[in-house]
Amino acid sequence: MKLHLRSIFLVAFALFSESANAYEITTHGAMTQAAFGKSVLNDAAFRADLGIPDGQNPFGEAYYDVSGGVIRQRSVSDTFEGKIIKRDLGADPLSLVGWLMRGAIREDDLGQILGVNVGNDPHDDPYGNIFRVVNHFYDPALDRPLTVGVALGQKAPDWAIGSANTFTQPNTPETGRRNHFTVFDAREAMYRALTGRDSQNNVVASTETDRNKYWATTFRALGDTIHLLQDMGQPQHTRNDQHAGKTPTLVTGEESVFEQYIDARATVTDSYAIDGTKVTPPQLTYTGYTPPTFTKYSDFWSTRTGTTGLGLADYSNRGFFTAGTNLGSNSYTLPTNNAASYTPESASGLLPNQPLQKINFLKGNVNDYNPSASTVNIRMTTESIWDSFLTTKTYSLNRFNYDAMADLLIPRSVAYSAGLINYFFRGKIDFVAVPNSPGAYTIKNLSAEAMTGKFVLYYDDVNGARQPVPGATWSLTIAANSQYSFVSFTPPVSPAPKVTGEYTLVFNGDMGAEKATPGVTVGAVAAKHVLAYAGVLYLAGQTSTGQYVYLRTDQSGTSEIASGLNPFIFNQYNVGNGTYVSRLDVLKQVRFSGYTGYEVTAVSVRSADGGFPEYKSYVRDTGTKVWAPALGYGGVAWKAASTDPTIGEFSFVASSNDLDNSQLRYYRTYINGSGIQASDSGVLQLPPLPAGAVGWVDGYKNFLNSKLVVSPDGKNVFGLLAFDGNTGYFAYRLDLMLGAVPSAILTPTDTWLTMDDRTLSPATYTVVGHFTATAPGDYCPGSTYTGDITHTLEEDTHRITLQRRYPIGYFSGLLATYWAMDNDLMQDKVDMTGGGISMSAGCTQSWVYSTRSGYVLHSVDALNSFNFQDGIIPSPWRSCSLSDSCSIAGICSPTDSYTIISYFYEGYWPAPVLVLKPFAPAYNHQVTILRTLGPSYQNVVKWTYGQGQQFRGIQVDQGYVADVSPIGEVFLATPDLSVVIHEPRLGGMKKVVIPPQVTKLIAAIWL
Amino acid sequence: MKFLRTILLLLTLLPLTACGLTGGIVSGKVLEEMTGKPISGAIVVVRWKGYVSAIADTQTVCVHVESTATDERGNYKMSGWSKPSTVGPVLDLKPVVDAYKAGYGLPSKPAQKDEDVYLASFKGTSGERLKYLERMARSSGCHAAGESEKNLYPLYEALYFEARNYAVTEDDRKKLQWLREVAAEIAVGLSDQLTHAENEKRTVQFLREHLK
Repeated sequence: MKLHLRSIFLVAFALFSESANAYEITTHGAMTQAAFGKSVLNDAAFRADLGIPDGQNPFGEAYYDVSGGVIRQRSVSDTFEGKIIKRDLGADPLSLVGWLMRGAIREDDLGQILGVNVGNDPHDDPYGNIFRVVNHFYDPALDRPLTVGVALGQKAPDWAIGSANTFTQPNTPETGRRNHFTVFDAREAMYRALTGRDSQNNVVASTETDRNKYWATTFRALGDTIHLLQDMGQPQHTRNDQHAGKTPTLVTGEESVFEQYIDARATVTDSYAIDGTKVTPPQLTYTGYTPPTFTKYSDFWSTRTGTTGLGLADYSNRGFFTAGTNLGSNSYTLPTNNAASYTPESASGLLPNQPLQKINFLKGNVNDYNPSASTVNIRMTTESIWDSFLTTKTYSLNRFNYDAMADLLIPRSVAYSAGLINYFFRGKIDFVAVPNSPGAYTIKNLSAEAMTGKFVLYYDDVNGARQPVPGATWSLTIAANSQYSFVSFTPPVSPAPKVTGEYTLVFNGDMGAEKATPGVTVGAVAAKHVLAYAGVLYLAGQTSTGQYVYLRTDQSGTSEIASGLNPFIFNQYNVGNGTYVSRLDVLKQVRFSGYTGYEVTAVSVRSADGGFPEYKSYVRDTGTKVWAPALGYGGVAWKAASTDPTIGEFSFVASSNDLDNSQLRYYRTYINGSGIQASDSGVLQLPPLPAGAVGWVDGYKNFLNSKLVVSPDGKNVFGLLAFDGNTGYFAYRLDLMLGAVPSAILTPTDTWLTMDDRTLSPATYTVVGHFTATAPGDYCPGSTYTGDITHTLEEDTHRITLQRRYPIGYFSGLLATYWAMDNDLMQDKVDMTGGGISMSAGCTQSWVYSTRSGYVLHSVDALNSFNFQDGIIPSPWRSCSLSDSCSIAGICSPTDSYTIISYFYEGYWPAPVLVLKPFAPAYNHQVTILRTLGPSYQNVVKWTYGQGQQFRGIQVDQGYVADVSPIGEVFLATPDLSVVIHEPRLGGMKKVVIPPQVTKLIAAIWL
Repeated sequence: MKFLRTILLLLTLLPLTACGLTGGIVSGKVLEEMTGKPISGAIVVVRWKGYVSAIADTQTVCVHVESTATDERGNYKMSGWSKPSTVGPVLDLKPVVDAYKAGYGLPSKPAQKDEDVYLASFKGTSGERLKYLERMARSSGCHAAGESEKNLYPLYEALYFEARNYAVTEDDRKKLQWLREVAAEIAVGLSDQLTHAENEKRTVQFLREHLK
């Protein structure tokens, strides 16, 4: 019977009502568009963190209407909301903001009366078309929905959030609810978009296309939700004013024209008839109010704290009159019905056609208890012009009252909408690799509320299906702004990942007031799309006619550089004839910015082909990742920042002229004593040659030829080398101390020792293996060498640094170096484990091996002639010249010396297997490193005696163009393009495609 | 029981109010605001707008649109029309008249006679003019007009051709492209029987052939 009565009332309303009681749909669209602009969703980096696709059409044109287990696909309407979004409001209907606007518009979908569709919405509700608007009212003073004798709908916050009573059961969804675009639905859709699974872990989206439909559903549902919040900024919706009918008067106009008038303002209508006159309505102002923050959804509607509530419904209910609840109606206690409490204002000249006509306003205060807001005195209502003849005054609202109301209510409706979006997306997490600890990760809760629930790592397989990474589900509680260390996982191989190294960490569970009900609701949801290093390879080439072509290759492929960074500095002057090798010297500053997010944060480029050198330096903005020319003086530049904001951030610049005088220039931005950002600049005098040194081998001028390496924090420079005038060499690191006046010192690192300086204290080791190898010496075939492989817990104390360590650069956050030495100084004995072999002195030998500390799985120290190649240690014997004395036939070693091999390992157990591999027989093994492309010896361009210039065995005698990424990915090509090696590993960079018009490569920079 | 009977009676009357829409003849003038001189060759658009009533809500709807050009004396005249309603009963259906002519803009105040339109010589920068044209395009839609929506094309085509003279910046060019697309959409008429991609394809085809 109750339902029957309600139906009768609804029909009666449909027949009799002729008033506008809600913001028009275009106004909702406009407010939603403005709210998007003020919300976190307007931040591209935030969207990228969630893995939300970007662009004009990121999700497709379909979404889902989900009711329980029934999923029905729906499509956008080009003829209804598409026109409003695109034509009236200038947005892309299929963009993210377009989907929000779609929800805000479609929440006002209308039903049918006697089988006749009302309005021009698509009427495509799969469960029957209804008048949703009856659920758009909430009277916080009396805690009721739209009520005319009986309740005609649900309370707006219940309808919006999806609970039967969101104030008392905020986490319990109403079963069988009629609204399928609630907060609960938005949450479920977001979870499905992120995981491809529903709250019961059933796969519901097996492709990226399907998941995108759930993103569309998420934003459509959020749009519906914020429509219902925006309605609370219309006092008729919070004062149970369904009032119908008109009372036209000369001044006041029609009673219920508020929304139509606001719509005319929203749609920038040229002329609009109101108050008996045609006006050009002023455009609406959407800004001016800061998005509020609350700790639960319902608070945005009402905090239910009496007459001082902070919800939007609280504000509009107590602060404004409406046509049906005007002064004197005594419908509500606030605003007060005591006319004497208001300040009269009699104004004339407001009506263009009746300039002498006076309008008698009553002005009063509208209180906002938000701490950052203030009380505003506005024209609350208007006395009838005939009142002077009446004993009982009557009141009405005109466009001047409406303008005053709109000035307060529209910015709040927008700000509350933005606040609700921000609250929905308040969960912020991160998944960060632990530097120097391979395989170890930290899960961070970057939110202001504790998180309790599941953290699951997902990846996309080659078919686009999102898969949970096996063994990467963690049930955790992480306090607000805290982290959990450490977790680890095995990278998935089956199904194969679409992009190696890219993951999405998804949290769902309890967060603040939002709780999960396992198997029913997912609770709060947060995610972090863990981007692998996403680098860009820049190439410079020339056409057959000598024209320059500049290319960039990234995730979208290869294209000519049209805008943004072009790091190349070629011009007709400094590109001359000659080879195309080493056209550039490049100094990069590489830092760790989360997960595999090693990135180049500063790059300096110098032409190196003769003529006057030319420099270009760029730095990358930490937040936006946008490159900009470095402030400075045209030299090499890098950044260094102090944690103390009063010291601030420095750009150091090394230019050739300054380095003649051993100076660095700097530019500093900092917060001064008044709390204001300030800047200064100066000159930093670099330390002189240290005592005992007679000259630089590689000194400060080497800033400009890529021999020095800058640390990620910019405070250390490696690779300086001084000579003592005899046999000693000293390696130094330049340490920069940041301060209001920066300073610098030289710190000794490795020393090229003289013989007398060697240290031979025995090492403590354990035997972890045994090896047998056949000596391949040219003159001693068949000799067998056996020995133990030892594992030391400490650095090998037998290690003797007799050679130069060259810094290569930072790769995956670690400083890589390589060693090079001659064995001329090898004259002493050491013991060899497992047998002795004498080696004659005087063999002409050169060798190199690469070493990395910490992160690297293996490193090798040895005192004799062997190379180390990624875990493969060639046997130490070499052929020797006929003049060498060999204590064992054919085995060439220093006289009376022994060889010790220490297998030194740092990393996770078990240690990798050590393999001995003979050198290919050759008379002379002299090797010269020409170019290092990463931390591995495999990736060096080297010259070898008798073999020439090679890279991985490929002849590159005619030159090469090469560079390496911050994580060690290699690019190498010959200038004539006969060899092109491009090995992007992570981040989805596409393989480079050289356009046919490019016939010659000149240079490469991989950032 | 008496109340219920009344409701039922009204229910039987409802289809009568929903069966058709009618617009009468509309005629008026387009005048230069300051001088009162007639403006010939102005494009006049008359949109019939009302609202549909839905329980506790109303929505403004524009159900029919006609356009024509003023004669040498600034006069225009639209013939009457009638057609079935696709949006249910429409209340307070009234003609809303707007006019456009290249080089003219908003008057300081609208003409008070509903059928007449004031225009004023536009004074401003090319950027401001572009904004005005964008504003005009945004506010001139008539989304529930059905086939008659195509009558808006002369206006949007004219807005586009004038806007082409003012697009300088990248942002300007985006606005121009938007205006071009809207004009094409109006010309081809979007259909809910087609997917968005199909509608877009028809629009692009029109752009290639007519609005280069």
